[in-house]
Amino acid sequence: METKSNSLSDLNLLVIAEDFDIVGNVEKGFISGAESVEVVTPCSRRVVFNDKDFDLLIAVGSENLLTFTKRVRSTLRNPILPLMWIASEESHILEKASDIYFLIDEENPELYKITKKILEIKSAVSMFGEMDINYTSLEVEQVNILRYMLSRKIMVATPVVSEHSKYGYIFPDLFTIGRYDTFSLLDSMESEKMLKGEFVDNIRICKNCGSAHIGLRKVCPNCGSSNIRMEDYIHHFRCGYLGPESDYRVAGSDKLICPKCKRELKHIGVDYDRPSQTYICNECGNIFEDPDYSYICFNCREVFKEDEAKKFIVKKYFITKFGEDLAFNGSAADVLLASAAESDPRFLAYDVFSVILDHEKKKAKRYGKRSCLLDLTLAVNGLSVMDIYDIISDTVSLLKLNLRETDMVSMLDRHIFVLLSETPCDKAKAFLKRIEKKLKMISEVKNSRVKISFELIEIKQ
Amino acid sequence: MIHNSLIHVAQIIVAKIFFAWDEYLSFFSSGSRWHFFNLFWFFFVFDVPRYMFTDIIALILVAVQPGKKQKMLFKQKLLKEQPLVSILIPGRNEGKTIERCVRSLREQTYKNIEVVVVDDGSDDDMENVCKRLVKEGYIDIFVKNKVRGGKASAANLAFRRSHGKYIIHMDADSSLDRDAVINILSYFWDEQCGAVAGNVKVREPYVNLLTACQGIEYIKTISVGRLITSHLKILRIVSGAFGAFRREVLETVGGWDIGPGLDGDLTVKIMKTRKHVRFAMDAVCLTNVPKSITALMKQRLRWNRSLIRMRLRKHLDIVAPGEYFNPFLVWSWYDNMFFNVVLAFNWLIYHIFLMFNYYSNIGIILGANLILYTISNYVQLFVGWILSERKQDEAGLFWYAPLMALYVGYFIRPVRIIAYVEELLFRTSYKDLWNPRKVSDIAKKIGM
Repeated sequence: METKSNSLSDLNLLVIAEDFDIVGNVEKGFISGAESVEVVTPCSRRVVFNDKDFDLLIAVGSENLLTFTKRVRSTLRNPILPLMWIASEESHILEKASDIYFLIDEENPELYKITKKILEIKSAVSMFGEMDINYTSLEVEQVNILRYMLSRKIMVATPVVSEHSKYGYIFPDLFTIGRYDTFSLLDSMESEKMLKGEFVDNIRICKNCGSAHIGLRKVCPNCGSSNIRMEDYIHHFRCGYLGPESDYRVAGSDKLICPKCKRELKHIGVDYDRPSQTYICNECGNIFEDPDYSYICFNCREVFKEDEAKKFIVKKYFITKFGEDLAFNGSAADVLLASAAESDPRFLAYDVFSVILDHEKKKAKRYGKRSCLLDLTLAVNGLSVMDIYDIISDTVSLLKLNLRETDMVSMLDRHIFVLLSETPCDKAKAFLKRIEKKLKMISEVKNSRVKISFELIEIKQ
Repeated sequence: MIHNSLIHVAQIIVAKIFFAWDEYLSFFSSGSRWHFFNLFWFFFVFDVPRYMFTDIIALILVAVQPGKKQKMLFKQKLLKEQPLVSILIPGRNEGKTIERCVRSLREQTYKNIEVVVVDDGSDDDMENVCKRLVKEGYIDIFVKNKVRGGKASAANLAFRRSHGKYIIHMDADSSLDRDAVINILSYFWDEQCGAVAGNVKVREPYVNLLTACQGIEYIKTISVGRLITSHLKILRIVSGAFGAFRREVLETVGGWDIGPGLDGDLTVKIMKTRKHVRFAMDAVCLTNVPKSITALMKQRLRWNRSLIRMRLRKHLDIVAPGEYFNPFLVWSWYDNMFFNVVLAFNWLIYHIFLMFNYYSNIGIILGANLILYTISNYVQLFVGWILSERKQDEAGLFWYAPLMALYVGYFIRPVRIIAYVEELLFRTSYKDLWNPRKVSDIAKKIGM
């Protein structure tokens, strides 16, 4: 992408704004030179834009627009595109959540800075390979998060406290990326070893809705009311009566009168003292020493006991080596292929492999050489990226041990291709028999949720 | 050779005993009956009727069991209706004993109980222990007073915090038989009964001679003695270690007043309302007793001083005709004063009498006295044992019965005399640190 003029020319822009008026306020010339401009507001009927590739996302408004931006962005074909935020008020979160940030009243930043940033991100994104077509939307989301972090050089996603978040914490860097709840997404990525989590906080959240916006109250253990008061106990020396201060109170008087002997208590230390304190419930009159603690959820109004609150561990996340590889290669198989190729020349990238395969076909045609192609297909059912990675990894190790110098391997999506060069079909079958049992063992490790099927294709005239 | 010399020694011992007895018998047989009475009048006039006769009455009472049917019916009613019973345990520095106490309450056959513990300014680990027991569900209500207020105030606070229809007061160093609560409550079949005294026994009577003596003493005076006085409606004390009350009765009398002797004081206050007090033989509480002679002396001095303070000072009005006149109360007052105060001084007079009249034979007479008392003690212990629900445990006490004459005659009674004289002349009880200073000062000032 090249920039020529002082406008965002040749770019397809998607503008997200609180309303159309605000868009008008953004200097006309600033986006006027663009190839195309689409504007969307929270009131718009159309909020899905998966029919077109945009070059730049522009959000105009305050933090209130964050959630909507996230929603719109998640519908895009290339959700990790650059985001420019023209903020209506100063916000630290917006600054972190966007790639380019400036205030609406400020003088616009110089255009070359904007285009430089856009280019920077574009070139980083262009490094990433095609994503595995078999990936579920969750897996796509996971890879997108990794790619977003890498293209923005976010080496660690750190949560910060925020009143806007259900959990009381947000990841400002990742705020507008992803369709799913960021916390559970990052958690799933940690369990698949794409990220490594590190403890930040241990908080309590609502047992019902999971919100961190809960208030702790002292309540009466009898009726659960928070309408309680604290009172001193008073000990009347003379008759030995000991009870809460209200026992001694007479309506319309400041005097302390003993309920047992009806005498007035005049002097602390001489007539009486206050040996301890107690709680009294204004609702049910219950007297108690230890109040119960209960939470009220400001989100769903659930009231629950202190020990019923759910624990929630907030972490910051680092990208692992596997995560990084996955982001660049786009599929777990490619990650493995890349690492296998580093140490073993028989493992080839698919494009190279297809050239050789083509060549092999030609040789067969011309010289009558017979080769075989073994196609191992993984049928996975509900397995995570990490599980698939394990299975492929085991299969690769198995192949490494059993292949000859002249054989070649490549992978594409869920297929592992083995080219058994100059091998007639019967010999190839013998090879297959050798590894068949071991392949079965590999597939059984993950509760038989994976099935490795194979097909032998003879390359002949 | 050895055999012969052993026989020789045995002969000498037998001869000595024979001569000693000969001397005894000749001394006693030489005089008239009047002479014999003159020597042992104390025993025959006071102790025989007081103890030996009452034992026989006790046996008859237990055999007849008046009110047995009503008691059974009431017990069934209680078990059906399950009214809440609050057990109050005020205590200070009872960190070591409170757990056993409340654990015995969990074991009760009567289940609807509420355990209220008040820590009266302890400086041991009682608070921590109790807080744990609250968590474990053994204690329902626990209050810690940071400032000590004395036992009465702690009991009153426990009462203020309780919710039960019936209130049981017990000491933290005591624990109950499994059926103690239902048994003590069953005596409330009698509408006029305001309070019931539990049967307090010594937990470990075989620690030393002193605890064994106290074991026998508790059986004699509490188990048997209170059975009789209860039926005569002159039972004068519901022991703080284990007693039950109707809630409304405690409310009427305003709970506990400043001690020492607050349990006896409360009993008198209840009797002043014309309710009477019963003794529950079958509601057994085991309690710790002092193991050393100094601790025991301290305890008894306190008890006896409180008798003077309560009977002669605070509640002297019960013997005068007036608002509180109750013939049973008067009787119990006389019974108490006579058998404790008068007899103690009389015991002293008897010894002086012997010294002046029979100085040369005083050893023989006192020895004979010991024998007479020992016989009496065996009879009483036997009756107590017959009535006991733990015969096997208490059978061992028969070995210690011969010590009782010495224990009562030369320890309990002299201590009584000292306590009475001290209290009458110097009001020593107000200096006792059993109560906090601020409370004693006020009590002394107002003459309570």
